[in-house]
Amino acid sequence: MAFSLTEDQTQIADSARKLVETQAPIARLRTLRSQPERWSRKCWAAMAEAGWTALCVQERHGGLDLGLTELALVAEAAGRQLAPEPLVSSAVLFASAVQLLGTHAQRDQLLASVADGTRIGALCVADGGRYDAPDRGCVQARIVDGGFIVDGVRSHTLDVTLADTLIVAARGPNGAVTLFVVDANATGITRTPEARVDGRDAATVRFDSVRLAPADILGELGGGLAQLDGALDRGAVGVAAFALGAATRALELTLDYVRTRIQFGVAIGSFQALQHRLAYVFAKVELARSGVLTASRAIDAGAADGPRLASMAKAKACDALELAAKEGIQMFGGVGMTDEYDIGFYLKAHRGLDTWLGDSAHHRARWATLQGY
Amino acid sequence: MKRVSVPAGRLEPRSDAYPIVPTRGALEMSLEDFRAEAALWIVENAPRSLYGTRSGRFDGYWGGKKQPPVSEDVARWLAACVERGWTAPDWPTELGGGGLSRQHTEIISEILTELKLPPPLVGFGLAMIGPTLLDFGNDAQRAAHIPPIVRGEVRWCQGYSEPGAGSDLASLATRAVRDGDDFVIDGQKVWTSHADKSDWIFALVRTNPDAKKQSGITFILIDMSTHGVSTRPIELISGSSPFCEVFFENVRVPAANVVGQVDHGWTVAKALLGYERSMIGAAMGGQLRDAEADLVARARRALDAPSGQLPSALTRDEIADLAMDEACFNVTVQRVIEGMKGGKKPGSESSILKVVGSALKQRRFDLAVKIAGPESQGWEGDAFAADDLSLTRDWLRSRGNTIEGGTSEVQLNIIAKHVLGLP
Repeated sequence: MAFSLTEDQTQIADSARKLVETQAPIARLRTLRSQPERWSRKCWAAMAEAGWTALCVQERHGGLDLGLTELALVAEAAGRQLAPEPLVSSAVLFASAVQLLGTHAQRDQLLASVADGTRIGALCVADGGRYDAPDRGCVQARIVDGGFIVDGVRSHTLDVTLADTLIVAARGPNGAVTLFVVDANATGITRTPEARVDGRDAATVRFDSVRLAPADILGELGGGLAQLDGALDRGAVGVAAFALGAATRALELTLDYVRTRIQFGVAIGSFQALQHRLAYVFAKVELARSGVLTASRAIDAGAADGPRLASMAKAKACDALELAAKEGIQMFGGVGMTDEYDIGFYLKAHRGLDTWLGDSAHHRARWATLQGY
Repeated sequence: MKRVSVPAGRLEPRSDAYPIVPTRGALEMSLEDFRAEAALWIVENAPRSLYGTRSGRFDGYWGGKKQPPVSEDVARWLAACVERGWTAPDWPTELGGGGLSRQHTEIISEILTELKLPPPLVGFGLAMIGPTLLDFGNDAQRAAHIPPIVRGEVRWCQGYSEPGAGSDLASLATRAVRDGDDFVIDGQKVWTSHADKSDWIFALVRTNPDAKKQSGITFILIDMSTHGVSTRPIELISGSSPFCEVFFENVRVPAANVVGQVDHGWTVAKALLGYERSMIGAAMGGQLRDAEADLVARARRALDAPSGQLPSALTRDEIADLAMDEACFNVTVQRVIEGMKGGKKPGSESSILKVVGSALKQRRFDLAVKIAGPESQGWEGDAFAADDLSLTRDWLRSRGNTIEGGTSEVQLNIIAKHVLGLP
């Protein structure tokens, strides 16, 4: 397996980083966090214009039909500046779910607009985006007149407030879970935005007698959450790449700071107690980079160990971000604790990224299961 | 790795191996043709008993006057390769090498790995002092030392560390004083692997006590049979070891044995350390493969859970975490190797290999003894299984992994200064 980037991939990575630095710098989080809309439609349009939303969509649906390898490059760039736009939700999780499970009609109807960024899709299938906790069965589907009526509440759901289309999981009377594609503005759906530590868009979604038709089913009737595994693995690699970018940037910020912060008459970066810890953070980040590189390539190649490597990438990248952010705050010292400095954003981001799609412990347990122990 | 293509029916090794002279010059044929011809030659010449006997990277005959080959077949395999110059395929033919390129050498080593054949000869002569003499030695030194190395007649050891000079190698104090055509050497080396089995030692000695640190050091070759040289093996916390102390008392060494210039041996030493680091780094990458399967098997025995999910969530978590780190490490090794193709300098990620690889190896053994529990307490005798006894020894030995070949602390200094650009 080759890990060095092709010329095209290098170009994608370079232009992605440029786009994020010029149009989506981390400073915007300070204003976005108090806005009703938690991410910028203008930035989203620029990302779509650059093709980010089309990377993982097949060509015949208006996509670029590139792979997770390319998607990981732009997600990493977005992660450097903690761009809150719903890239992973819409362009990876939603797009992959529709592509892998959708009927011809559903793919024709949904994918072209996802690829050009005009449709925002999001998953609404597990509370808090957790797949490691038992489903509490809070969203139920009844069969009435050959259709379905969905009731219930799903909380802490990322990227749904501004979404146009949702994928909802609902438990039927026989206990089996069915996935549905639902218009986010359908009658009976209310989305109550939540205030999150990472400032990202999330809401509690309430379903009051939402009427759905058999044609809205995604995948099999009663097919269960496991149908989403393929999409979730891709999403996990997307989140991992985002966390990798964030970890890399948190380390850079800290390195810049310790090189210039003078105490006792010298730059504090000259102290071995800090140097060794920073070198250790660097090692963790490079190992996580290897994890993201190998997972994205394995899934693109359809390798049997793709799911296991996706879990590895997710766990290792989030762990690296946690370490980089915590060490960063410690080395910034008092100012690291202030809201004025950006380093704190990276720790807050970790809280959301680690939980999303299952935390590191969940992914280690999944790895063990997939390895037969 | 490319598969070795050998004509059907030719795979059976012959017991009466005898070198076949190649029909065409290797350098004139394509690499693919060379691969086929080399495979054929190896199959024709490698004695049957050696197939499948290679397990680790350093398996093989180490040469020298003090340790004869363990079997006639080992000697025969060496003789065949010496005849063709294939103990050092990319060294010059006039010095006993094969006159081939680096690529040819890699092909030969790939074929040997695939056939699980030990290389005909291994050791510090081929891996360290040989390349150093080719780069820094004079004609007389090359003519005197390279042919015995490629023929496996002389085994070398490395005299660098001293009791007072470990991580701070440049503070070494073994003295060499000029007396006519000789230097007279007094002092002590330590951590010298296999010194008691070696014929010659390449050593760093201080020729100018007044010069600052690195400047007064000379690189010199010493025949260990010279009067005044003695060795003593070192016992480790894990038991016996290949490490030795080497003592020099009034040892007379011809000044002609100085490699490079007097007082300027540090340059030579640094180049040679580079060979050593790449050797250890590669070994780390190769040795990390089977930890997970081994740990799971141990856990199944210890937890009495022959199949299914392990009943300890903590053990599952710890094994999986280590397995993930090892997988990421192995990919990092691949990234480094890939990045160095075409003679490019290794990328910044290469700096983490030693510190991460050695720590992972320790974690593997730490976890293994923890899982083994009471069975990890043995030292020797038959109250404990042989496998558990060797685990305990390996666990103790692994504490040295983060010390030898550059301590982790020194490696972290290097990353901080040279990769992260810290003051």
